[in-house]
Amino acid sequence: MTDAAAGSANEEGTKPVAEAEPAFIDLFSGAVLGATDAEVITLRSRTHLVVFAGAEGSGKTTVLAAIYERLNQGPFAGFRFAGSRSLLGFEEICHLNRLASGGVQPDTQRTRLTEETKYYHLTLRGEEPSAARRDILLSAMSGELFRMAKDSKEDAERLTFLRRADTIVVLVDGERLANTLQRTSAQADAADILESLLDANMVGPNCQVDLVFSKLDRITAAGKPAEEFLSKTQEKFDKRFRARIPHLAFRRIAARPAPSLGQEDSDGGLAEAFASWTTIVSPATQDEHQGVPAPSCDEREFSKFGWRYFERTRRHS
Amino acid sequence: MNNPANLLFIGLPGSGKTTFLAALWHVLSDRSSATRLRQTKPSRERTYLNQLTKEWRECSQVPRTNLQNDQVVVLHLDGEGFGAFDLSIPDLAGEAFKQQLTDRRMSRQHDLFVQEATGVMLFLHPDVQKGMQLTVARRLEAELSGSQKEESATASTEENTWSPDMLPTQVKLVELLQFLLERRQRRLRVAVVVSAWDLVDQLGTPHDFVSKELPLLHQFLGSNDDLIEHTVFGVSAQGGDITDEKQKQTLLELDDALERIKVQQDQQTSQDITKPIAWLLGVR
Repeated sequence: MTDAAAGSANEEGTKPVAEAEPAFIDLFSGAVLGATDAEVITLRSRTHLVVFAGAEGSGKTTVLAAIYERLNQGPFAGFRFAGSRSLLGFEEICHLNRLASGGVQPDTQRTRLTEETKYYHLTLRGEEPSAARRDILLSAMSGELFRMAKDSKEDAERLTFLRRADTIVVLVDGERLANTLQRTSAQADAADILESLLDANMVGPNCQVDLVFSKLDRITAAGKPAEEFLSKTQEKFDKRFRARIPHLAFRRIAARPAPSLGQEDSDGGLAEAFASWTTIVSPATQDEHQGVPAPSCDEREFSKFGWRYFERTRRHS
Repeated sequence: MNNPANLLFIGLPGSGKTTFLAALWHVLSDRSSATRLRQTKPSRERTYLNQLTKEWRECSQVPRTNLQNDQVVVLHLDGEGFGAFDLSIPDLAGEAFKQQLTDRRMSRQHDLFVQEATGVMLFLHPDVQKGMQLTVARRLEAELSGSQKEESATASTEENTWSPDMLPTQVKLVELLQFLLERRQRRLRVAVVVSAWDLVDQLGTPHDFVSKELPLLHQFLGSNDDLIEHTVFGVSAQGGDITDEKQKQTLLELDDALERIKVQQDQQTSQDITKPIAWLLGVR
């Protein structure tokens, strides 16, 4: 209402009508989080951000779903489940691997190509009673989105959230690595992703980078030549990236081993991997964000918004 | 007016909230058994409570609360170490909690109950929906019958689109507790009540049951011990399967209907249905 209009209403003696209190209070959505909700979590507590990057079909969402499924069965990787703001999001990516889906073969919903990066949240606590809570944000980058970033430095720079990543997991598709026709492309895809990240200064000095060979069961099933190619790939990556990435590690996992291989109960190396991805790397002597461009004005405004929100909603325990 | 206390019963539809209330009212008005809490004077809501309890006494299904008839009952109680107090318990429809999960909103009235609650009883029926993984289902099929495995694996099944209704029970209950923690600024005392306990009491203690069958909920409660103080009860309020005519007849023929009630906490078993309430209201 304009001032003039308000003045006119008062002159006529009409009182402003008090806005009725809504009958319902909104609760958090439980869906996979957008940047704003993720920001709120990072402002509430020191949050560990793990980003999964890899070509399409390399197993990013499968790894996320497998971590959640293991927690559904009990403590996992030394952690107890203490909460999540994205339970519905997790459940949705697990759906195609559930009996209730009506499906026959386990499957995973592909990461959707969206403008905004999505985050899955977990609050975890170590198994020992005195352990503190840890907030973890997990994000899978759409294969297609990453393809765009891979081809263009500009697109890579759009993915600014990566600068905050404590751990970047680059997945190398084990299934493609086991296929002689596709193995060189699989190797090149993963290397290109890392190059793009480094070129765009996305890897901070304290950022842990794990090159993970996924779908290890497929490599094992393909026999010795595939295993040897994997080892050579690892050596090649080590030579190429070790000097530029201080916290580089290699890992092999099978997040969802094929039932036909009789490895359903196998952990597939996921627990050890997850424990490592969520380990806080000791800060270097320099500031964590040194060498990384300062946030843009928009980002700073965004952070202020998050802080104000936090101040309004934080608990008084 | 005596000291007021407020309990909040939460749980999904059919989890046993109203049946518990019916059995509780029978025990309090019967006054013949030794219980932690006793009634000092009749409740003003006795017409409503008598209606529920009539069904319970006849071993009929206690009618589920619907969204239109949320009823707050006030019980006038005392007990050793408690003194006299007025206990308010809203009999809320399980459907309302289901709607919280799908619509992601809570009515202001429910929010008020949450803010004022001295303690919370979280009800769950032991027939839990588990969210079984396909790989596990296939393995179980193979173990049960090798010959049927191929048939089952290739059977034409209709694919279902995901919806929040499909959430496993343990996820729904964790989410309901997260809603409570979101809305409250104080530490919460929660008595988890596994209803129809007679169906699963051979599996161990109530605590064992939650740990084995609902591991996510079990972890959530344990790892938030600074925010939630909890214990687990197994409560058999009906005493058996009243949909089975033979069992129903056996229950009706008992000389004392109190014998139908069984309450277990850890290794201790009794017929005192006021125990979970006494635990929630007790001074630590």
